Amino acid sequence: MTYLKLIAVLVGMVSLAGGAAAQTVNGKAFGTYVNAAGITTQSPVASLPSSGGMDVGSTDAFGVPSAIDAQFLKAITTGALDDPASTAQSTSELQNVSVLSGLITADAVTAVASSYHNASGAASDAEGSGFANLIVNGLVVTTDVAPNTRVTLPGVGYAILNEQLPTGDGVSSSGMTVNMIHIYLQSLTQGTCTPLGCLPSVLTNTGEIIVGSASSGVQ
Amino acid sequence: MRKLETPTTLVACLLAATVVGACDRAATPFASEPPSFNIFPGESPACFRLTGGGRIDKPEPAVLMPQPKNTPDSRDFATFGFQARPIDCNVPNGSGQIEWVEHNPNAILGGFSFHASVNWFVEVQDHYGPTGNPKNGCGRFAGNDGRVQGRNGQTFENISFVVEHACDRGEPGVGRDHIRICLGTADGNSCEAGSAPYRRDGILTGGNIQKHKLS
Repeated sequence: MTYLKLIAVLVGMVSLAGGAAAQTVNGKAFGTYVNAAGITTQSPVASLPSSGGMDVGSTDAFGVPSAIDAQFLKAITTGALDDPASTAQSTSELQNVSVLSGLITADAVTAVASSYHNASGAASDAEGSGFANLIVNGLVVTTDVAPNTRVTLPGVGYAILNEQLPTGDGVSSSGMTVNMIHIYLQSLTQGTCTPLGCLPSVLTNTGEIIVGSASSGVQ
Repeated sequence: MRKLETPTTLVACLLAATVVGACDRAATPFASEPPSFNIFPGESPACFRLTGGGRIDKPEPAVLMPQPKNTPDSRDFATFGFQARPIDCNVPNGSGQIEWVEHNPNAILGGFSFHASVNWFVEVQDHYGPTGNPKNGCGRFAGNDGRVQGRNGQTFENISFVVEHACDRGEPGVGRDHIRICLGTADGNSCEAGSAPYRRDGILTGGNIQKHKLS
């Protein structure tokens, strides 16, 4: 009997957690972010107020020599706190993208992140995200890119394409960040030898480039 | 064709506005006078607000069902974000804003981005049937201060728009929620096929449209 009561209380707590109204929403989107060779810069950012609303960041063109060139960057985030349903959704799109002097190019890059919280729980997704005419290392990509696809970029580092970073417990909170191109710049530090022994060469992260980022969350 | 409860006079020039250069003004594919907005039979002032953002690809099918994205070699899709509401419960005057991006280089102006504020908001019925929400109904909202920035370099100001319907059919919005927009119509109320220089609709392939209480 006591055991059954405990189960009933736990079920009730879970139901309440899922049914309780969200306290905040969050959303953010931008076209590009560059942290490389001592330069840190970012295209206009759209940031959603925690109580909801709408924000837009856009520019006709954005470039950092040898790092990124893109046109028609538009970042949008919208959302609202409400009971029973709170939602946030963000989009980032840019066109005629060239990263690292053409190492990666795309006619269009689109990131979409969407989150909701309602009486049945919370969830997020990155549906709608994609590339148009993506070319990586000279190879044409003709199919949708699976989430978190890693591509080695010799002499540069590596890239995660369609990087998806979920957060939250799926009951009272949920979030999603999608970075369509996330380049991790690396350099090889040569190992050294001393009379005491040799240290191996080490790959060191030296910077990053993000192209097409959208995030959303409710909690 | 729907019948107006409040008839309006349309300027003949505007009826030909889809033909570039039809008027003596600067060549524009859009109507150049702000239209009036009306409440049609079956519609009513609303007591809710909408937020939304996401992506559409293929036109709305005859029967509501999830739609796939277009292929990765295609730029034939649109993305958007908006917040729209009546200024008060059961008042058709609205507020809010919308951003719409048409990516298709074969679309008008070679694709474009559009921004406008909302000044009209009413409730309409979902053409796919009851939405399943406790209170059925979609939003129809409009405005006439839009700015269109074409990918071909052309920019137009004071362009009207009407979101003929933005419908929340539950979560997640992908495969359920749907939206239709018209830009530059001479008759601000009309978003029927062939009535606007730009018209697009679809079931969401990304994002969400959410109906909220008016607060």
